[in-house]
Amino acid sequence: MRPRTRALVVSAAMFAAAVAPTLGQGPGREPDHARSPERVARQAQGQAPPAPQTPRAVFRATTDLVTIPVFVKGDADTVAGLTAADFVLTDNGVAQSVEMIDSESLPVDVSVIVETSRALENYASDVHEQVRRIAGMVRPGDRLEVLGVGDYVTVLVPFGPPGRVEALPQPASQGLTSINDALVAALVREPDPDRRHLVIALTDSIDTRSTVDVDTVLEVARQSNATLVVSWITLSIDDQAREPPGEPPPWIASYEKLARHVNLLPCHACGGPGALLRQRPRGQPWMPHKAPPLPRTIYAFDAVKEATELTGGGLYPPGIFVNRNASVIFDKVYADFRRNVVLRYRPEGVERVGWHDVTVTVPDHRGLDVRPRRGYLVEAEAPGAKSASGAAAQPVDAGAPTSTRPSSPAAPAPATATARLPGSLDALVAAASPGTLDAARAVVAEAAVDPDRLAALILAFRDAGNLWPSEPRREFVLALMLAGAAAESGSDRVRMLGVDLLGRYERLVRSPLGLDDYERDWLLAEAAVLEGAMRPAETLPRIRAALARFPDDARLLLARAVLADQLTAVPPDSGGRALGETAVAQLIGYYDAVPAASAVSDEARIRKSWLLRRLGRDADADAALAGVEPRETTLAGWRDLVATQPANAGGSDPAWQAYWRADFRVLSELVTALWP
Amino acid sequence: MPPATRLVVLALAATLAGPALARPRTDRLPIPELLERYAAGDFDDVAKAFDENTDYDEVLKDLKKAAPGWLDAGGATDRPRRVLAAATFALEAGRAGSFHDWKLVQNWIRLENIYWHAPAKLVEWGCALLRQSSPEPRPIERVWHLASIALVDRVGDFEFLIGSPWEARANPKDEILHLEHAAERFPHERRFALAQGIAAEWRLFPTRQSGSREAEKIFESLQDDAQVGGEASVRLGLMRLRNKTVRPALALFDAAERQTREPWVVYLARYFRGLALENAERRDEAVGAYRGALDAIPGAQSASFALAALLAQQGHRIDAAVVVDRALTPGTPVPDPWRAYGLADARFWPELIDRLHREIAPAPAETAR
Repeated sequence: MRPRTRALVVSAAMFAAAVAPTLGQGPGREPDHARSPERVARQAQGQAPPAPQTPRAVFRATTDLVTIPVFVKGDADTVAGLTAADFVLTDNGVAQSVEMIDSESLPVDVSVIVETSRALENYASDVHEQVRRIAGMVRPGDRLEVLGVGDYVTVLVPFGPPGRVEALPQPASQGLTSINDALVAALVREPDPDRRHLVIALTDSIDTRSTVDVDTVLEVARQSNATLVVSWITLSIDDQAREPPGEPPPWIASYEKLARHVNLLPCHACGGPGALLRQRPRGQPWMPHKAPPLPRTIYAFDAVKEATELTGGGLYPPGIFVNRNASVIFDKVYADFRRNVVLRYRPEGVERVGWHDVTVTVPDHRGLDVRPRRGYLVEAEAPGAKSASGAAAQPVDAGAPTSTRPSSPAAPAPATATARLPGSLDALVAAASPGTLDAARAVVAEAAVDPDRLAALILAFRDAGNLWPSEPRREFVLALMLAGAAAESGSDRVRMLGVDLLGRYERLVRSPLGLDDYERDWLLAEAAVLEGAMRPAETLPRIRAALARFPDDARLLLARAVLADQLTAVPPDSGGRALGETAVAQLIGYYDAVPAASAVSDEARIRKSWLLRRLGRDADADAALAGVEPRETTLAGWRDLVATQPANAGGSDPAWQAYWRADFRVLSELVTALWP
Repeated sequence: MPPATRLVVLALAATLAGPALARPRTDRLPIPELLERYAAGDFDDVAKAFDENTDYDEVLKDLKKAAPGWLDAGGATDRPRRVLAAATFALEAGRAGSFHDWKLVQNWIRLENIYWHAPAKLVEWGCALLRQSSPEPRPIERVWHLASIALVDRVGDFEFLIGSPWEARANPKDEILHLEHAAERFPHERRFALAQGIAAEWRLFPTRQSGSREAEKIFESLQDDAQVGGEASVRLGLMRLRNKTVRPALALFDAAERQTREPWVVYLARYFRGLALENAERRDEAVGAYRGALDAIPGAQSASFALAALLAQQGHRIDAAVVVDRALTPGTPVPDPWRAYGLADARFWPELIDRLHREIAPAPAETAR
């Protein structure tokens, strides 16, 4: 094989291997010949599309205009003399009546895609220079953007006047190559529907990182309005191709790509001094986590070539005997692009919805190379969707509805005001999403008016699950708020619903790195809710679980004592009971376990004193209280209560209710501190 | 000396001296001074000095030399803090060095020699210092080990963590087995077990048969763990997906969603679900799954491009364009969990190093509290 031929074949094979179906592109994906336009059209007709977020533009067979760019190459005079009458255009086999548009007057948006991956590090300055030259060729009225392709696709220069590219700093070369993703991104976007879009990619087309595969690029190209041109940066001998047959090819890592391109590293199969010593680069980057390249076929190469041709563009390998660098290619393509024939017609006699195959011929000049866009898709009108095209005829590019864009298609459809019942989950989500805790509190308060409504809200919240996946702490706080509201309910059932709700979140609030301040603070707030629920038999195990996570936390130690003590204070139908001697000793031990130097030691002593007084051990009670002079008003009040009230005091007295509910009084503050 | 011999000697000398002469020289870092500044909380400047350094062999050598005296200088009370500071100092130096140098792999006939270079040895030096300084580990040491795993995961050197249990080495005594050290100190830390599974997963990838069973077993054992069960389920689900067992994979992704709210893991569970559904030609459901992934991490490129491509193929080109626009905002892209899937715990580095810094030199407000 001659060197040049071999280089082409080898590079194509390398490309094919790199873009072969991989893990990231869907394991086990079958070859996408199944994704024919017909199939897409069937889908459009037969399957309900995803619920539209906003009204979508649709074609009206009687009013919509279709625009088809046609690249015509041949004798300049002949091309210049062509009129609409020379063209025969068929839409799904039906000949159409067309008109010609002056394409030179149409403004153009140019997207330049450049690789910034480490694999092309040695070409970086050259690529940068090519971009500069391309920018210099773009007409002042046209716009230019530059996209970089490494691990990520990045906007190096957003759309705007081309002159800014002069100041474009040379991006650092690093990472792998997501060229498929970049091609899809460029083809899918439509910067301005009133402008034509030319995409030129300066790449070696070897993908090592993309989400989408090359077949997807092909499918997207089929429906894109943009014209795609791929200018290959380099062709080089692939050392890997010389590896012994039968051995699986190594992964195509970035540095290996580089190695193949510039022959930096000795190869064990290449002979010479490095025959037995293959030295990888010293800095070992993470290798792409992809399936190994499958047997190399020419198919992937064909796919990208076909993708470019589908859009009316082309794939240009670098020249060996002629200068075919990117700027030269661009110069030519840009000129041709601006001179493209643009045909416009109103489809007649064809089904509106679905894929439209378009053919264009010039019967009287068969020597001309005529390459039109090959078709367009009209999606089925979604139920309830309105036509954005309106009554007036609206010119559109092939397959491209020109409408206002939805502002946020990924966002969940907001619940309408009428759908939001007071105290409903919708209302809670709407109130909490902008980030105002008070609004959420108001919704919970609305629901708490009626125990059934609150129960329904808790259940709906529980079943809805991950309501703010990007900010789960919102959900954690709302769980506390709901459980807190339930703790105040007169209904035992609702109180238990709240307690159970918290149980679901004890694991979810944990950091993947183990114990952290947030989990501890959340558990402290949970303890406050549990104290307020006054269901000690059910809540005591909870606090023990919290203590298993933070065994030394004084507040949790006190909460355990409070809940155990509640067993003596609540009625039997709420789990109350008289404690035996052992249980009493254990309870006193709980109070004693609260460290004397902690911030809650005064409270522990006050509560212990009250326990001892109820047990008839007045001297011990007085001793426990000796020297306790809390500054906090509430604690000072409790101290006085304990010191002066008879042992049988309590019952429904609000002061005692507050005493037994302990930290429930500060739940609101705890929750506020946890709100993201 | 005969002229021919002299020529040979000169050539040999030039060959040996060449690399040393070619190496750019920088001022030798004043390690004792940097240690002092680091322990006093001057973390950013010290890290900058590491970044500008080129000779990590010298850093390692000087650190080994300076550390004993420096550790003793603060007295017994301050020693634990100084040990942590020195170990974290080594960790940060190793991290800076890892961008330039990490290890050398040599093929020798059918065996591979692996030689870890100074950055890797700095990490291991810090590990040894912590182990030798106290028989009972302090809780903050767990954070140090987590940070070291975050660093090694970023480098992608899974052999550093678990050695080469599946291959013969010409120099087996040089194995580091870093995870074993961490696990000995904290045998109940499930994150170390998960790190072992991840290392096995990638150390063996793309072997799909016997080798990956090791990783699967580890993930299976961690599936129900409250701390790491979500991530273990996602990783196990992906392995099932690779083996084209879609239904079990989907069940695991569901399980992951029930176990964790960590956006990184939720994103992956939903993204993989999308891949599985798309592959099964359930494209409308796949669209929902990709949208769900983007709810967890808006603008992440893997789900954005997968979703946009799917929407475009279904003819929803405007929706597709908007999805791409959100993923292509100027500036640094949103960190993408799938792009960083193999980097595993590297995502925790900022949080972990911050915790270590706070322990070494607490901010005044924290001290007061």
